[in-house]
Amino acid sequence: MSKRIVIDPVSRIEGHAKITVHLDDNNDVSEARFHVAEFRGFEKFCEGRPYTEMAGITSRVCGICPVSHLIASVKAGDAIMAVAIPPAAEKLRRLMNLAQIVQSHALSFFHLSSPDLLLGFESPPEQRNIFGVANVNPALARGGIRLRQFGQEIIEALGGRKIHPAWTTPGGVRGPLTDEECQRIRGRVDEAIATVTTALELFKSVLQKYQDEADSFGNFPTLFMGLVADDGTWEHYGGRLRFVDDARAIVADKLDPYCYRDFIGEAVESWSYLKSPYYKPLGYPDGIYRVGPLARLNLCERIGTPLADRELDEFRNRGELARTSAFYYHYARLIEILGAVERIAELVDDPDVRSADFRARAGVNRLEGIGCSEAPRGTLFHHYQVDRNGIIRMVNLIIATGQNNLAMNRTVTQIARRYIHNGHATNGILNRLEAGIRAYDPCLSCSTHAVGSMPLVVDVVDADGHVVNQWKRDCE
Amino acid sequence: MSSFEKPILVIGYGSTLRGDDAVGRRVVEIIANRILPNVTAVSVTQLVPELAAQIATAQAVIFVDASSDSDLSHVDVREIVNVPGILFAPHIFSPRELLSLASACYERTPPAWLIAVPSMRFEITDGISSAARRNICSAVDAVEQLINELSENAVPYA
Repeated sequence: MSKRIVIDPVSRIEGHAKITVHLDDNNDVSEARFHVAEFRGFEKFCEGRPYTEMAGITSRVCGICPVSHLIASVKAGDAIMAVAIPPAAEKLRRLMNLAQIVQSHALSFFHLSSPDLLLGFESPPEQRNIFGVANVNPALARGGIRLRQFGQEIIEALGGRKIHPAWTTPGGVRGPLTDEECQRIRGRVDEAIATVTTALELFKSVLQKYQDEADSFGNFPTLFMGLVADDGTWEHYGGRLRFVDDARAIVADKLDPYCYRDFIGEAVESWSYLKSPYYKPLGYPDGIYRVGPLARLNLCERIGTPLADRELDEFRNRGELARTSAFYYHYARLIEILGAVERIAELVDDPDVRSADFRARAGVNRLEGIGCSEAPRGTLFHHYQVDRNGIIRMVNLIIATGQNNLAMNRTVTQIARRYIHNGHATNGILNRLEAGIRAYDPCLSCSTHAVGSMPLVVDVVDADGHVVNQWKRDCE
Repeated sequence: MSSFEKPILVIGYGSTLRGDDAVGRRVVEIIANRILPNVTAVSVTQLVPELAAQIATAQAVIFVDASSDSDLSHVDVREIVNVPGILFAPHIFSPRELLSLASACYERTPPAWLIAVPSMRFEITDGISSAARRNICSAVDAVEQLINELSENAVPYA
């Protein structure tokens, strides 16, 4: 009699999802699935809105990464206007996107994932949160809180508020930074670098302890995709798309995001609202690829800043596992924070970010626009078609988390097969299944985020749908 | 009052798109416009962990929030006591959890109060009902009275 184990909801991720583990007649794992159980419908209800409103509307997809949607949306708007934005506007947008990467990665590592690493996967669920981290390492908790605040305050300085800032607009931005704001940001750079350096040392120190997890958390060959600069440097705003394989060999390069439909297909499964994009030349599902921090480090030749490049060298010296295991997303995330902070320091010293020439103005000059940028979780596409009046007729959004969907499903299957035997799942094993998903830091297009207190119910259901066993993890 | 004193932190929170849920923020905006010495006014959509750092360095914290309690007929001022050492990290932070986080990270929990403003309508709108609007004035008075009492007992910032 076949059974399945259900983890519903998955905690400490942004949004709502569940995991089912399917057991065969011998109670061994046949497969596991990551189901996204929420539906938003932005691609449909945005039809009929002016393209100039799209940045404001689509940024409401999420309270964690609104900036990512702002950036991709206004780039699509730039294309519809057919304008080249002023250099100051690009640098200011870059600054905001870097701040977004810092704050989002800090949330992922310090708030959501460091509890597992510091306290252990088998530790009591009620301790696996930021309070637990503060209990055993208050300096790390303080640093993490301050680091996220650093990113949030840059976003607020630019956009007037931390969440859903209405600042970027097709053609540019709505204002520059002042001298005082630049100085204030500059004044916190050293602290931010110290915090992420400490976190990197901590992560490296616990890597040996979690060798089994590193070996089994999404450790398999896939392609990786993301933006890189023309010279191969790490990129987050401009550049072209590159695909590499698990040995970092280039599969396709200098791909124009405008032609994404030539090389990215979108598959749909009946058991999830999350799309499953794939690399078209290899078909579905063989065209599995991953995006996000690990992908970006695999794609680029260098980060382009001294401290981050030093860390990247060390990262690459760790060999194949550091290229292929999702467990190393955490490590890559920290290196990206370091590089982002270094680049922020460079940008606030650039006089352009205080320039008064920050916006190009034009009407509708093209009936289609595609914006592509790197969100913290990976490459983000906004594709709009408009009529002559700039009214949206078609929207297609390809979100980073969706592009990791195939890999996340394969990850939970790998973890389930490694740890679940004879249908027996302990609390620590269930947490590992969630942690495998958490390594990708999925954002399920939700404007709130769960941070660890959710109860967990695992049902073992027989082939007839009867619950034959149940494990419960209560809040209190 | 000396400028070397720790600030009194007034935090108003709620959604400005959910009708009366915004009353806490309106109260804090009025307080901010009065530019009271040693008072830091913060208006936020929801309580977030980053506020713990500010809380830890405050002389006292006054939270202002809308209350949907139908039994509440007037502005309620209540001291927050017995803050637990460690709590679950929740989906949405409450004042008690934020104070707990400040305690865990910074080993300091300042005295704190919650000012609950009776509110009735939480539909999707950026307007505040006339009844809740009337309560805003009472809430501002309550905040100022607390600030005055705290200022009289202020200790120099160490």
